[in-house]
Amino acid sequence: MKKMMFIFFIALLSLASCVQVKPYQKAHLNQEDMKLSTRKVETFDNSIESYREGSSGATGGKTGGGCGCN
Amino acid sequence: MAKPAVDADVIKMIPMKKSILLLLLLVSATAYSQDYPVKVLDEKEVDFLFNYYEQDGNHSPVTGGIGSEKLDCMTPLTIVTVPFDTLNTISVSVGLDYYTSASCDRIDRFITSASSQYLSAASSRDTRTHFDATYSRKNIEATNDKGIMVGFSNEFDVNSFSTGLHYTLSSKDENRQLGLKATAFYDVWKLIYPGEFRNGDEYRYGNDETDYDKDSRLTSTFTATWSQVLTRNLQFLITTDVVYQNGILNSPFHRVYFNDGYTVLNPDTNWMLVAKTMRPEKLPRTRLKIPIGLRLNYYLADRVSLRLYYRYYFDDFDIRSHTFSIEVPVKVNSWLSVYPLWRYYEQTAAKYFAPFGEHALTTSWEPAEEFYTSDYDLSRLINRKYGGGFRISPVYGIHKWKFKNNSLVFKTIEGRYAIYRRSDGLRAESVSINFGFVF
Repeated sequence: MKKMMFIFFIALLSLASCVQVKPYQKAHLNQEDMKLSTRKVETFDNSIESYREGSSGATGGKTGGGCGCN
Repeated sequence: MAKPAVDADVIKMIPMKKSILLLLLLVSATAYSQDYPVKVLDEKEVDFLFNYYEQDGNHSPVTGGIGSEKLDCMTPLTIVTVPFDTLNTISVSVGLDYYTSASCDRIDRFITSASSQYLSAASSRDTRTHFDATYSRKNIEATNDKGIMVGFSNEFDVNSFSTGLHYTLSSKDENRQLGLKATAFYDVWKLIYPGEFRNGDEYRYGNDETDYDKDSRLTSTFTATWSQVLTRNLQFLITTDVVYQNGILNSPFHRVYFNDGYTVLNPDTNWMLVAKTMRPEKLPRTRLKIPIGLRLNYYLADRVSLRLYYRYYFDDFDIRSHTFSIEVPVKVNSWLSVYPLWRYYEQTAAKYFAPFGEHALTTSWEPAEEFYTSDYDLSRLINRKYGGGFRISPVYGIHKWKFKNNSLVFKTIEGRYAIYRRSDGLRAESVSINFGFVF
């Protein structure tokens, strides 16, 4: 599994230098649904999942603090 | 004499050409703005969010891994973002969590009527208030952004203080971005033990600040992110957190029942539970957690995109987890977008976990292990989530109020609904809504 993930990440990074996307070509990428940040209404889901599951983090949200957080 | 006539024709033609030109511009601008939302940099934003969450299950850690987990929680949250100019921005969020919990009502499960005046009623519901503020400053070329944040939250048994720094570096073409963040949370806990343990001198009880001993926890987090535009339809974000916790990691009111030979047939009525060997949950005072997440967004076709997320997580409690989620937003028209969502989560059990009555005792009736918990959040489990959401966001807003020197635009409504089904029987539902305004 770890090996597969490593290969996947390397493949992604190697793709990075392939295409130079100009600002005027980002019409699709700039759409609200294409944003890489979590949606504001998704904040609550992340919080719930951090309480009800043994793991948390890497969601761009809070990683500690308060009762219930693990 | 012909010359003035020509001039007159020219004079008539110019406004006509102008109006055709203006019309064409308007049409193209409308079409353009429908496809490509225009972002006004100096807009101040206010978001009013609300969430309702409810759950029910039968593995409450307060009663040792058996008993009701019924809980309802209402969470209003307000986020205000104010850019002072094109470089400096302040964002403030203020929120409230009001919850009622059946299991917390059992902290004093077997205590006498004399002592039940203290925690039973109060602990069945609680309110958590929280406040966070972030200041960010971009450089003039807008290639980097740095900032500082502070936060505070308060509830009956926990006060939490937080602070942090962030730095973001973007390439000039904005195709690549590196983000670094360091945060620290300092939590102060009142040590509320199960009622059975608060009768003697060893543990106190009451509702005053001085009635409880206190303990603290420091959570330090370092976050690194890398985002990259791959093609005009594809971009990704890798996030890694390194989280180190030091201090109290157990919840003192969580019970753990041991394997002492007593059998409890019905935990709600069988008083054998009083005689059964029990201790408050005990966990190590340090924990290292490392999650690695990958988000991949792909513009699949006209009106349809894919939001994919995968996370691998490991820690020194021996929990390993995989998370995979997918959302498929479909743009129904220029102002409405809807999406179904699905999330799959699985984890291994923490090495300190055992179900009710399964932790071993020594021959002298002491716990055989140094650390023990019966909290099913730390058990081996699979959690599935299904749901969907929508976003209403017309180009010129839903409604506009004009004032003397300003205007307020009701810009967005976002909604989200999710159902959780956990493999241990816990069922939960969550509804969230956001009303977004700009002024």
